[in-house]
Amino acid sequence: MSNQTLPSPGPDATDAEHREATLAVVTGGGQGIGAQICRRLAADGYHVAVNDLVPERARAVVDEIVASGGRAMSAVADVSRSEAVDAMVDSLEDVAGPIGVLVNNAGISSNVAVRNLTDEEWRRVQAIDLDSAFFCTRRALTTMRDARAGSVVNVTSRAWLGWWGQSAYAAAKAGVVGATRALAVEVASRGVRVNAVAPGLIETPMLRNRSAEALERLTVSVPVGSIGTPADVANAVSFLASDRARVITGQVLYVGGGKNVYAYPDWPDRP
Amino acid sequence: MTAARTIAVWPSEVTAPFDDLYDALDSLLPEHHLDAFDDLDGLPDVLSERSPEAVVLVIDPGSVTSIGDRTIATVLATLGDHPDVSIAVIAGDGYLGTDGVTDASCLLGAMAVSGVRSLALRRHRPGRSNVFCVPQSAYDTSTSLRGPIAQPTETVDVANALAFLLDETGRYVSGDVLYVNGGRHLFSSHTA
Repeated sequence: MSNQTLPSPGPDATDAEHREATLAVVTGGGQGIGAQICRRLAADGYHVAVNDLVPERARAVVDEIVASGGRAMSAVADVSRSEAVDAMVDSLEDVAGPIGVLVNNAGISSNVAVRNLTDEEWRRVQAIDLDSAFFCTRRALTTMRDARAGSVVNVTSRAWLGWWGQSAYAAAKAGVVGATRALAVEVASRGVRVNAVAPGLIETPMLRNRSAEALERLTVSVPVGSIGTPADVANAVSFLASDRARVITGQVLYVGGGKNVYAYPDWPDRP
Repeated sequence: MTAARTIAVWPSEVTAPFDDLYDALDSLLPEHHLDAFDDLDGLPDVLSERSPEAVVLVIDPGSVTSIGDRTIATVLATLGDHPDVSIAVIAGDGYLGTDGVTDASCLLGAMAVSGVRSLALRRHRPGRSNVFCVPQSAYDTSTSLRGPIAQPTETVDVANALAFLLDETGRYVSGDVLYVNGGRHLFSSHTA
């Protein structure tokens, strides 16, 4: 971690000065959408903590941000374990001051028919996709409540609406949506906003492994006729985290090119 | 004269509450060359002549009895013929269920949401369609209706949300309803 301690903005500080004095923690920030969220928040002026389970991934994103003039530090921890989360945030706040923005992005996908879904797979998905958001938010809120300010942005998925083979993933992401709405009501009076973004089809390494034919079929299924980018999701997170969204809370913002309205079923082969 | 990239459609029946929204948007999106326009009957010609990238339709829910459903129907039908144009509708959130909001206001809000989702659903329509729901308290300061956030919605809040979605930053958001209402929508099962 950097040994740079952030200054506290005065009462007349501008929005930019507030962001410069704000620690933003992004879980699962070492790759894909999470890495782009880190880059975007750093460009906005936040001091970004890049969380990842793999030190090399977090370090690579930190190095990239620092090289481009931003401020970042790595935060290696397994956020599906509450004690690891508490230790991580304690350590970050010792160095960089109170957490002001939390982005719960860490997650894994799962595509298993229920007849083949084991107890272990179900629990693994819930632990990484849902438990991690709860552990991180609970810890961050202890700071945000005291500061009477803060913004939590959860990365859910349009998959929470339900799809073949997605029962574990949809349950976890639906849990994130429910927690977003409940917490938005619970902590609004403490000056904390809680929102979510629900990405649709986004360019990720997993998607790039698809065949050209499959990609074409997927692209056609999106009303705006294109596949989204991690930057599209990061831009939405940036907006919701900022004071520009100061009266927006409990929002689930779909970043899906219109596919959130209707899924255009592409039925799998049925046995 | 530079062609307007965004046209704010401002039915003449709409009055005071959002008068300063145009100025706020103009300062947030200076490159959009915003033009205001209030002749709905002339909208098809204007769209053909100016080829805007986006149209912002402002509805004051307090005036719905005079605007009726003609505004939504006319504008959405017209924009359906212009697949590249993005549309943003600023409507009231009374349709979610609020004491003291007229039946007409509820119907118009619901119509706005269904209308833009219908446009968003059209395949290969690059133009995006979104609704911004604002609370009655944003235009009627006599009401004490509030969401979890006690702070009232102000013009700049609506402008900030519009600027996010009309700019490149919101290029992959379509068919969405953005509640700029302090979280009041959380009290309604419509939004689950």
